[in-house]
Amino acid sequence: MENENQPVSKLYKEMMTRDLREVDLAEEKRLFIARHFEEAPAFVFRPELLVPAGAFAFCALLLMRVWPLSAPLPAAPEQTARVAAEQASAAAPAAEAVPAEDPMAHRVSVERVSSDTGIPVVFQKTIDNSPVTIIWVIPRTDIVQGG
Amino acid sequence: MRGIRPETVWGTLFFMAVLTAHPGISPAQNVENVDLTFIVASNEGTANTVANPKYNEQLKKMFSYSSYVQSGEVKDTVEFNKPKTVAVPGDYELELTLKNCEEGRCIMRAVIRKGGKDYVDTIISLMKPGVFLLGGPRADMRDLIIVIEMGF
Repeated sequence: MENENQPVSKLYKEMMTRDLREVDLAEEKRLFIARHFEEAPAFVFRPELLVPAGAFAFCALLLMRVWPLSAPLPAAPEQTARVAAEQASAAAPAAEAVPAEDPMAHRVSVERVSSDTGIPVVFQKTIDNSPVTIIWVIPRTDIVQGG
Repeated sequence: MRGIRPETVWGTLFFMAVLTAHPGISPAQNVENVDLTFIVASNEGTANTVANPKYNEQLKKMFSYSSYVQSGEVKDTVEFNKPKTVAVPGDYELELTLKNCEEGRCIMRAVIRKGGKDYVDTIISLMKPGVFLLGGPRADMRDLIIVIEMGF
């Protein structure tokens, strides 16, 4: 009896193996889940969002390195600077300007200067091979009295 | 519930690495030492009471006053984006704010105020250690010179 059933059993096993392949099962599972369960809520830290965000942040920081915050701001009008320098030499006669090509002169740089009460003047003087930067404000009252 | 995908983990790590790599927000560069010396200069007499002998000679080479009297000295620290206010002779106040420090160069804002007006408002880019002078405010009809040293 057992010997007679063996071919049938083998045939049945082969049939089951063919019909319930893993690929088909996976597809069945996916369809079943899609039919009976709601889609999971969107997760904000998805790779499709993170990758562009990371790339944008990287580009932004790269640009900040190329054009850092220390980039010099637009200079004051030339005429104002010249007039201020002339007045500075009158106020502090011992001060002398350092040539712009002096590499040490870049040790300190003034990126912005303003005043509510007078005219700010910036000059450098090299003392013992080291430049000293001086910001001097000439009060408006002195200019009116002098002029 | 679905597990976290590897791409999510790598993306987050990359994003955090980019943010922490930015030099401007590195915690190690948040505080800098600042030494302030207040000097009153005039042409009355020949008194010279500046404590630092290095400044004695330098001031004479830089300016043509006959008298330099040191009226105060402050050793303090400035923190990143936190304004530090210091009283200055002549009822002025000096406000220092460290804006950024990168590769030994610091950007600092210095403002001298009196009576709600900015006597001077400047942004300095300075390679440490560095010195610069703010001058011109009147204190008892004399000229005030503030020596600002940073990173010494």
